[in-house]
Amino acid sequence: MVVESIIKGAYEAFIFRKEKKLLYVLDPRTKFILLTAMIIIIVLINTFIGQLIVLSYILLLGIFGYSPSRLRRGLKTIFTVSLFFFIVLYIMYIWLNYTLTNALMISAFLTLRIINLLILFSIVLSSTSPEDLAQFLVKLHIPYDYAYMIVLAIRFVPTVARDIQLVYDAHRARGSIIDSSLNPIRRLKSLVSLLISSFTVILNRVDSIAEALESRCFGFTNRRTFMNEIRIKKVDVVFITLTIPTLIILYYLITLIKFP
Amino acid sequence: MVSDIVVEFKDVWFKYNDARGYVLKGINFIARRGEAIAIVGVNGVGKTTFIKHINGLLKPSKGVVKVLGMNTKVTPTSKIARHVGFVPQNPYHILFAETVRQELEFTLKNFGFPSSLIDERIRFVAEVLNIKELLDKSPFSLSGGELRKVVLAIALSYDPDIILLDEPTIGYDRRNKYQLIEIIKKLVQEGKTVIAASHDVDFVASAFNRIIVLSNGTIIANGTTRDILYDYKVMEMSNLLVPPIPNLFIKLEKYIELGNPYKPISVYEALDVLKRILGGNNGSGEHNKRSI
Repeated sequence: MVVESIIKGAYEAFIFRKEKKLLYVLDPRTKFILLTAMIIIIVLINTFIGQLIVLSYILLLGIFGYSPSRLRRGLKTIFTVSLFFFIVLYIMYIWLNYTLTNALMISAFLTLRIINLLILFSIVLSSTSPEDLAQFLVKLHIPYDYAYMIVLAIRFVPTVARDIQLVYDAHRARGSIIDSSLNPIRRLKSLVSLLISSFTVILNRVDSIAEALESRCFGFTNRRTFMNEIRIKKVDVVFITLTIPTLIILYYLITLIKFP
Repeated sequence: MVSDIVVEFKDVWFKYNDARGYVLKGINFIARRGEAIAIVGVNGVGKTTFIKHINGLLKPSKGVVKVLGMNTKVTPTSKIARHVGFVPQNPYHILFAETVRQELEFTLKNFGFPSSLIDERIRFVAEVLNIKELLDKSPFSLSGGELRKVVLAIALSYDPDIILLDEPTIGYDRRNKYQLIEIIKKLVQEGKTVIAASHDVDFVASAFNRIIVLSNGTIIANGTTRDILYDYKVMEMSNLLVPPIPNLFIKLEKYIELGNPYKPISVYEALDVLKRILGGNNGSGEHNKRSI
């Protein structure tokens, strides 16, 4: 099933898992500054070659944040999804009366931009633990309840993916012909049954999480403390002083040289 | 008992996509028509993985699984599912319709049963499982035990040759458990093959005639219920509780010559053995209580 492999791949690309790499040590605020700077550059640069250079810079960053297996599987998914984007964009531009080569160039450029953004987010999100993310959001004066909601949503992606997989299996086992029937109406009908079961399972899961939180006094106090308080370390300062100037230099080089 | 093979595992190895290593390691296994087989073992030992190989939900990484002569690797799951009824651990994974009746109808229509037969089948399973009064209720308003019955009804409705049960006794009270045991015995008499993954040793002891003990992805014991339950070492290794009566007789054997055969499982069998040893009275049944 395509959807399932994409969910698994996205999980591989975006979900935090503890590792000993530089980006895992950095303060989330540092990573946020890096993320913002990179996004600005990706948005500003509007040549294909320029985006390629940014991509190589991001992949260089990836060395500090990706383990080899994750690099392989995560990037594979990102490229698969981007291929889909590319096809959609290409068809759209041809439909908008662009010439074939023009459409190809524009959609290739836009796809590369999407790839850059996806890999960037993947590197930053997969190296930030949900607790750090929550603390970061609290530091931005977002109420803890909402910050925790985001953390929970991220935390439960794999669980829900597994639940949906189990539902899918159970439905196949009782003869819902989801993937092998040729009749599209029958397939749609089985898909509806699959969706209803999935929603039931997910809502049950949400209910039990809410009960678990309440039974453990969630929201008893507004003053939250954290076991590992985030703080700006020397590494962060060094990292920022190294990356931000290189990014600015990179940007000016790309705009000055004027690639076609 | 007809002895033709319905399920055959030939050196089956299986590993999930993530880097967890092999979950099943070189499993060889044969199930014949009319057998009731229990798969036991600690959590995470691969019981569910094993069961899911039988209806083709999981395909072996290495080796061959044949179900009723069909190789699961090349046959679509929907085709295998027609002959294999599957009862998942969580009933909610399967249910979606407004009423139990619609739930059963959906399954039967899916497998192409003619509408004249559908009503008959529904009436039949409702009778067997004693769920007549639930037929027009919403599956989501039922209690845990009732839900499990409904899911079992779905699996039995299309008259499969093999029935797979994944932890069937969770959420069952004593009465329901007893009913399930009776149903399994009846199915076996009809020549169906029942394969269940379970922790519940009492349930296994009273409903199944063969036990397979899984440990760390391999079969460490495969034999009749009696032999396995009296094998203290295997039970210890698979971290299962030896039921009270076998436990008592294993310990008794150290003190008394029990003679052959001495492997009782149920209370009545134990009573007979004890009577033979203590009283020398050969009468059987209830009326000899005083001699114990």
